[in-house]
Amino acid sequence: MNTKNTYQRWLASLLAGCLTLVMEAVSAQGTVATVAAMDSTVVVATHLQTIPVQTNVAAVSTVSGATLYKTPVANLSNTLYGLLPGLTVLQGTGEPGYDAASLAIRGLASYNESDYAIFVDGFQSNFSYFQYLSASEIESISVLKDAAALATLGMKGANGALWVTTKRGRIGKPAVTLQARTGFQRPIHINRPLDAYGYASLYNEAYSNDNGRVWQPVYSQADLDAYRSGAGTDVSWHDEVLKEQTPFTTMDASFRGGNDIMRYFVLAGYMKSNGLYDVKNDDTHSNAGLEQYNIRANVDFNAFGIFEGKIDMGGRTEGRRFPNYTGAALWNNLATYPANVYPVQNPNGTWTGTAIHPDNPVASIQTTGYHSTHDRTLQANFSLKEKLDFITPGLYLSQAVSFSTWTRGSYGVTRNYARFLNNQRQTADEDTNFGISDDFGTNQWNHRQWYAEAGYAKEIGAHRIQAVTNYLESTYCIDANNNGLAGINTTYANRHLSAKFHYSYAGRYVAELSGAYSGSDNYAPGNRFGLYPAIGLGWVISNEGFLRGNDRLSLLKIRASAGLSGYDGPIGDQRYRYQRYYAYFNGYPTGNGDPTYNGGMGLAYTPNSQIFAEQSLKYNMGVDAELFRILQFSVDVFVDKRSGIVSPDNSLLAVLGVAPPLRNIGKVTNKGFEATLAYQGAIGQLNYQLQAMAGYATNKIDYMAEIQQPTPGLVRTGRAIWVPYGYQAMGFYDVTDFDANGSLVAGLPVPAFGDVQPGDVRYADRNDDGVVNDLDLAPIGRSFMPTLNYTATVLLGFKGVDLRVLAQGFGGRDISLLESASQTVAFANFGNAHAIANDRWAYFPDQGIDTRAVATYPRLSTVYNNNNYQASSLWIRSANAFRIRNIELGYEIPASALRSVKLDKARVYVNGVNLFTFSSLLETYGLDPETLAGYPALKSFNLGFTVNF
Amino acid sequence: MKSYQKNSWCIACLGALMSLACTKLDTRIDTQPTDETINTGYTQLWGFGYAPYGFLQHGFFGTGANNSTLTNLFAAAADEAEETDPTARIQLFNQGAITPFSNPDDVYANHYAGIRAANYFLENSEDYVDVLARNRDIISDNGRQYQLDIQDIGWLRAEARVLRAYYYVELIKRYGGVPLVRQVLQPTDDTDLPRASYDEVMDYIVSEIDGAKDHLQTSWKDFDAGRDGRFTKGAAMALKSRALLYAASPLNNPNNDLARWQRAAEAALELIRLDQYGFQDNYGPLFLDISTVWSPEIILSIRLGATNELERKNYPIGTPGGATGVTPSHNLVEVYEYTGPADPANPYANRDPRLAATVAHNGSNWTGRTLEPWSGGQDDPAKPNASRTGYYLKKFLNDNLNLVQGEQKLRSWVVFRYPEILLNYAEAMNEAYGPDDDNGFGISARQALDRVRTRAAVGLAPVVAGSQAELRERIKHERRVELAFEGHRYWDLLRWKDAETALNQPLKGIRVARSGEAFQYTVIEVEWRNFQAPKMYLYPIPQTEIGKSTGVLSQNPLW
Repeated sequence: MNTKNTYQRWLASLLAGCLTLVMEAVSAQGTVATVAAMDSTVVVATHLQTIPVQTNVAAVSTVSGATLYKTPVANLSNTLYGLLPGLTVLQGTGEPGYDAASLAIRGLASYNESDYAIFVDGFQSNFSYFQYLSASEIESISVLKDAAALATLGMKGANGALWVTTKRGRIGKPAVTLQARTGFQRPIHINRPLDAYGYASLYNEAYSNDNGRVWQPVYSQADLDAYRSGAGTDVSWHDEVLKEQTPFTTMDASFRGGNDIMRYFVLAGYMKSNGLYDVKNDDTHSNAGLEQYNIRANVDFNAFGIFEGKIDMGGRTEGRRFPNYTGAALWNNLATYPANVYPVQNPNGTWTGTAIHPDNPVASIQTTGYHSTHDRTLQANFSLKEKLDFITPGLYLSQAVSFSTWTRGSYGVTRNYARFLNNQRQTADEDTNFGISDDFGTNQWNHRQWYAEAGYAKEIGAHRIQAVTNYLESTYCIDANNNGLAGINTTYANRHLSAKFHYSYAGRYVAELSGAYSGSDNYAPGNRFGLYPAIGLGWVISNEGFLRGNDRLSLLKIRASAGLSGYDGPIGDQRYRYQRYYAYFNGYPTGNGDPTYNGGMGLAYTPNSQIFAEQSLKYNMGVDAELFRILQFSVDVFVDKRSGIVSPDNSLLAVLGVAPPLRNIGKVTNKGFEATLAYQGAIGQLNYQLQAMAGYATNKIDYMAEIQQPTPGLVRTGRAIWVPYGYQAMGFYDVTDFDANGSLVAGLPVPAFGDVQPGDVRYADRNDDGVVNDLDLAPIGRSFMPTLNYTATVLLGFKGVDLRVLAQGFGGRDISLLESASQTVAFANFGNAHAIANDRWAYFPDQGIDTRAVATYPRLSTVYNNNNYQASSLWIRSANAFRIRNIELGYEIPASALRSVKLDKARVYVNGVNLFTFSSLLETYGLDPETLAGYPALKSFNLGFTVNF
Repeated sequence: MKSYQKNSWCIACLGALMSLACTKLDTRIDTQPTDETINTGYTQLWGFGYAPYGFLQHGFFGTGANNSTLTNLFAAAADEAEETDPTARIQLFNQGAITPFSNPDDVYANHYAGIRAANYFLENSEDYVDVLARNRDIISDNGRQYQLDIQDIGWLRAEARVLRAYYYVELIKRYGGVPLVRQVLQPTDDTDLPRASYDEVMDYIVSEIDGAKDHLQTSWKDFDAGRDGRFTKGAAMALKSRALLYAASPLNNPNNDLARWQRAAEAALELIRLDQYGFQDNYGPLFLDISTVWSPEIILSIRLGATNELERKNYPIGTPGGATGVTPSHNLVEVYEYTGPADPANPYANRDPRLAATVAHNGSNWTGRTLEPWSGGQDDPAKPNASRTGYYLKKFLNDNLNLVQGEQKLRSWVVFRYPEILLNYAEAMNEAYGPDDDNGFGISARQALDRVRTRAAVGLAPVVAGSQAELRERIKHERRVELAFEGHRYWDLLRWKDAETALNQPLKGIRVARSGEAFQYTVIEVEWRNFQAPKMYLYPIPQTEIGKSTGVLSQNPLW
């Protein structure tokens, strides 16, 4: 209750502060200088072309590397919160090396796997390469959203793309930048279980509930008193295993400069992210951690007057270390091992453990050894452009190759330990010497691409033409065994002919035609290529004579685009769905002793020679405007009509005798909008900028050849993707719902999940057939994918001091508390109890226990209760959240003070990440709305500096 | 000009480099057999030949290879037993709650998959004599193996026909008439097929068995024990006997056409006259270990290999590793005949010896101890998951298997055994000709029944029943006792149309009260059973199938 009030007050004052600023700004608007939004040097870089922002018609949002750098986190995906409208970023765990956020562009448009594409410096890359790029080497990241931006990507474009550009050299004297930042990371929250007293008290209730609701305590009053007084075993496993905080450091040095022959950007960087485990790092122990060294060298050169060459090398090594005990299992044990299960160690120093709770969490990190993996990643691109102005001005050719590669090796030491309790061996484990675990699992991928391109750019009077065509081949080879029957070490090959024609007249009218003829080896010969055209149109109204030079409406532009793109993503665990394969399965044993198994052979799956890529038809309409040169806004509205989603053709009946083939039959409609608003001004020497963004996307399955469902409630067609299904909880059975024999009184629907008793969850019998069973299932909430993402940013500058606050939130999202079963399902599987169990239904009048009126959690049981833990509305919670993602306060040391030390610029700052989270889930249940279980997400406090000379 | 040349050279070099980088779009590597690879040899014939067997289901627990979600013996659906787990899907039968959407024993798709596998093999091995000659020396020493291979594929082809018939028998037993698929359907074919009538499918079954049975191996045990478990001539005849008996039964023969009973009797007689099968001297061990494959009673059994899953599921709650599972009902226990005077203090004394081999009761020496299903005993009925009937299963279970150490034993499921054929014969003869008229076959209904009752393993007295109706009851009783837990009872009740009474009454159990060394036995009601007649006499066709059909496939009445 306290926390709630605090945060409401906090929020209120924040909003009041914002409003005040806005009002003051409006009153002072006359004094504001013009901003650079329509600066002709600002360009929009997408596939094939770089277009001046005035005549851009595509839906593209961009953020600079400098902005990403303001969030000191290890994983690049965690810098993206709230910066790119249309990009949903959902936080993952904070485990070093495994801390990626999950990203989605414009929500969900397919019920199949639908991965977006990532391009780095013009070549397709993947998340493994993207995630630990350092913000310091990035010039900008754009999110490509509509057909005008995506059609040229052909079969890679349907789910949107992230377009990453790294920094390049500039003509000028060498500029050196040194940056370092360090700080401490802490869990946003740790949901500690009940202490021994709380656990034992509730366990007594649970046991008595299972004992026909006759009070039979397992823990005596003396036991409880001992827990209270501290005499009994009461271990906070989290406190024993975790440190309060752990350091995080990055530093890098970069050199940037060049002349008209050669330009360079060179960066060397270092990053170290430590885990939360309280264990030393040495030859036999390790905290979790990620240590990374990265180097980038981007060089541009000119030769013989016609050549422009580029060499980009971005490489790094990632070293991960962790205790030789799976992180997920450790965090599960921390949540589920009761506080009174055993002390950390026996009095004689041996490790405790039992058959039921074998893996003492402290021993798991202190004595099992460690494991480490070592990743080497490199992307190397070389491109050469020939300016053929001697043939006709504006004509050029270019060719490029890219090699991208990743390998992982691993090693570590392992050890087992004997478990004792009360001087008795509890398990068969024995103390062992250290063993070496060498190279368990080597993974690699290798991506080769090359292209040849011809382009032409020319201005003739008011006409401006940019035309380009590009032929690309791509070969991606990966050794992960995810290709089903196609085996391992499989190659994915694509060929791709794309073209774009951009035309504008007098900066007012824009027409753009683009498209790709794109092919994938996923499909049958003769059926491999698809054509993906798009059209984009724009009208810059503010450049019309009647508005030109107008200071009130300095920009007004209307854009529209429509076109196709595709997705040749994986189809289940099989590749080559067109190919007929046979496989052994369902054999038959014969023989009169130990039988011999005779394999039976049949179709591995039913092939479909016509199988093809999923298709997306995208419509986008946008308006960009600037008022009084201080207020900019931009709105995009989109519709994405998906078709050809690969789905089992359930129109075929079972007499066919095999699983039906997959066909391109599914359809989904996804629609929504993005809006951004920016306002800047100054009050005296205080400069300020306010930005707000929102993205909204909602989807509906139009067709999926769904089998007939037993009840309308279970039908997926017509509903949103990933809607959760379950029962409608109607509170808890009361004592009066049962007769003297303990049976439900006549007339009450009988649940099909086993016997019930007072305090169990009561479900609605939606179809009134007297039984609660799967015919009573229906949607009980919203998908985990938020429909709404929004951001507010405040930037203040006063003399050398700057302050930035970035707040981000999302809405329209539900989760089930059972997704975090280790923290929400009390006692099951010898588990633990958390504070949520205090809200349980309980009625033991002799003991003075009666929570019937206020209970929100079912009666406790010592075993998993099949009735109470059905998916039901009882467990569905809104998982919306609003977080202050970033606060940074910086000071730029005045140039006058730097001159004596020969520095151009110097800035120091303090910075906080994820400092405040407002979420009902976190407040009420201690569950992070995005990271429901396992290693928690982190917040951090950092200190850093940047020096330029 | 010079630089111009240089440029041209550079461009040419680049072009050459590019052409080296050219990639293929044909990257597919086939790591599984394709049409091309399987057609280069002959060994794949066995793969396709064994494939129809892959959909055979044993009756112990769900195999995971089909839509069946049964996890333990099907006996719990009938009045033989109770499943202890209240959430087990088999309870839907007892509650009368199976639906077209939710049927725990939905074998529809699985059996059509088996039928497809049989069709596929038969269609694609017509030229097997030529295929077997591919890439091998068929003249010299290897020629003998070639001849043996021709023989074996010939057998497998006949077996595929019988297996296809078997799947149809299992389908019509559950669903009534179903679509007849006699060839491989392709995804491009019309799969919305109408149902054939029960009799049409029966005709097909009988003609297939008759056409194939003389091409089957007669005894794998004599020829090559390593292939035992495959269909033999005897097994095909047993299938025909059972199929015709079902077709003659009241459910499928409402006008009591005696010719049907006569055909059923003749089918059983044919097998009896083979004189290939006999009796084992004991009853309990027949269902354990290698007895279930070697015994002279066994006509066909399905091997599971070494397992302890059934013991883990059905050992008493008081035995470490036991989970109670399916427990015999008092309804079953009370019908075992007395061989001497009844003793209220020990109701299990002086009984048909098959009782002690089938049911573990109070005082049974079982799993290395004495069963104690009384309050305070090791198998206290108040324990969570203790038997609700007071009995535990013994038939099929190995005694004294150490589950804690994971001890396993070979296990096989009986599909056909000789006493069933004798009982099929007795029932058909009694209906067709009465108790004592052998119609010149040399064995009457009563004599067939007595062969089962008086054999060494049982040792009961011959039946004394006089009339046809009385003998009918004795035959029904004998089937119930002899074939308990073997997956017959539910279907027998259905085909006799007895289910509406037998499955619409309380399932009974026993409560044991201990006072000193004496016990008191009280019969209790465990639960009310609910059989919705006449609806449940046939399973519903899965509703997903009805939904996919454009009205061609019809649902069973009342579903």
